[in-house]
Amino acid sequence: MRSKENAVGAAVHGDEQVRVIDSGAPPERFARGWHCLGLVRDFKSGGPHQISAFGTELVVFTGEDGNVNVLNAFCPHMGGNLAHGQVKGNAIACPFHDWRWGGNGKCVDIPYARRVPPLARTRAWVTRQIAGQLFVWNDPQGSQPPAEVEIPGIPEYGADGWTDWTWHTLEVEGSHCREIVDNVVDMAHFFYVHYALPTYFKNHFEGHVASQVMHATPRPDALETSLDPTNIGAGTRSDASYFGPSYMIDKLWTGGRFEGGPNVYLINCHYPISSTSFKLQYGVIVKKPEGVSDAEGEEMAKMIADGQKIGFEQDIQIWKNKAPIDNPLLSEEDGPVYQLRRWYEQFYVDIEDVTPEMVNRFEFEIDTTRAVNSWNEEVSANLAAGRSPIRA
Amino acid sequence: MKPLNCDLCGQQVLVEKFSAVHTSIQWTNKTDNCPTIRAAGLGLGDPGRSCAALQNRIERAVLDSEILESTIELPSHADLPRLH
Repeated sequence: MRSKENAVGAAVHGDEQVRVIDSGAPPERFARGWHCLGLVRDFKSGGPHQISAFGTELVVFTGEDGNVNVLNAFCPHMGGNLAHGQVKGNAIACPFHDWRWGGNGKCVDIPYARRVPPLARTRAWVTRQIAGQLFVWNDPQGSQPPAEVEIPGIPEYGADGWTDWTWHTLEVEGSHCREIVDNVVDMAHFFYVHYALPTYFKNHFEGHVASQVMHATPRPDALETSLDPTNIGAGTRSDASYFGPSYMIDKLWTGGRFEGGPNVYLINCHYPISSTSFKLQYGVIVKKPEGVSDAEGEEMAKMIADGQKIGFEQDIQIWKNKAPIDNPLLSEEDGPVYQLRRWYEQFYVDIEDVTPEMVNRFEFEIDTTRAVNSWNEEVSANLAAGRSPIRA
Repeated sequence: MKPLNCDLCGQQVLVEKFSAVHTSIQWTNKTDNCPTIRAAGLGLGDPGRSCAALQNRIERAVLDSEILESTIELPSHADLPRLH
């Protein structure tokens, strides 16, 4: 039966009113902001690297001077792919006709030609290197990055007693990256998808930053996904913030310790490949406990990252099979999805069209009482029955 | 959401309570206007970025039944946040 939809997203089927999903359409533009492409160490090794991002192709190459540069991959001469070329000196040489492009985007040499033609300049992306990661600035309006949206450093990165990054990437096909950003407010999915039992959950958004404060315990019926395999069952405090549209720093206090500095940093970031696919990346550094060797410390970071991997892969299974939904139906125990999306919208409009509603401070603390009671019962029943919630 | 003015600086925020534990606060101005947050100098995203006077004002409003528990209201078509 054909249904007639009314203004509140409901429709009539026979005598029944039913809710109708409004899937909207994916945006044509890509978010304004800093995007992490990966680790500097990975881009420094090997030849030029090709990155599919923002609906186009980029080349990342390291010159002999050690500078890491990001250019449009396609050569403005005849469209050759620079990522298939070679680094020569401080320039990238096109495999098609050996045109040489410097890190600033200027053509520095055409070995077979008398002179470089006018306007021989390709797009050089503005980059930053922060805490071992490489960032590029995307702005559909072509502006330079404002100082107030710079990505903050991680003081513990490279400090004594901390590991280097354990880093993973996953490609997500068929979903807009708003799906992963929604996780910021989605308290309940942490239980069902990430096997954490949130006991405290609060969001605050302001300016270009969206944050989540969560206290959680690992689900006793799914301990293999625990954040801290050395201290199973203890609670975790997590302070996580998106700085801009795509880069989240999650500070974690594991093992039931809620004070002092964090002992784990988890990065959760992505960049769009197209309007319906994105590259998800996550990385972990860990403070090595006293008396733990470097190798054991790296092993801890790896175990934590592996635990995260299970959760992210399950996120992807959900996204792959779900509908985009612009009008989610929410309960009082859900997080502020609409307010988060209002915040997120600021990155998809021209900077002069950013409204106070998108950036004014907003705070939301969820009442987890009912959820925690219900989940504890579910966990107890699983344990009694010897059942695991982890999908094979 | 119920408008409330902070005792300390007089700024207005909008407050909503779904339950005793739940609170939702929508600021209607920049937090630069809040002397407490400005003085603390904590960056965006810092969980300590809050104002005790405002918290007290909200708690009092709850005790005085100025703010009653409400249920969630969802935006519809024209008000939905969109990316296109």
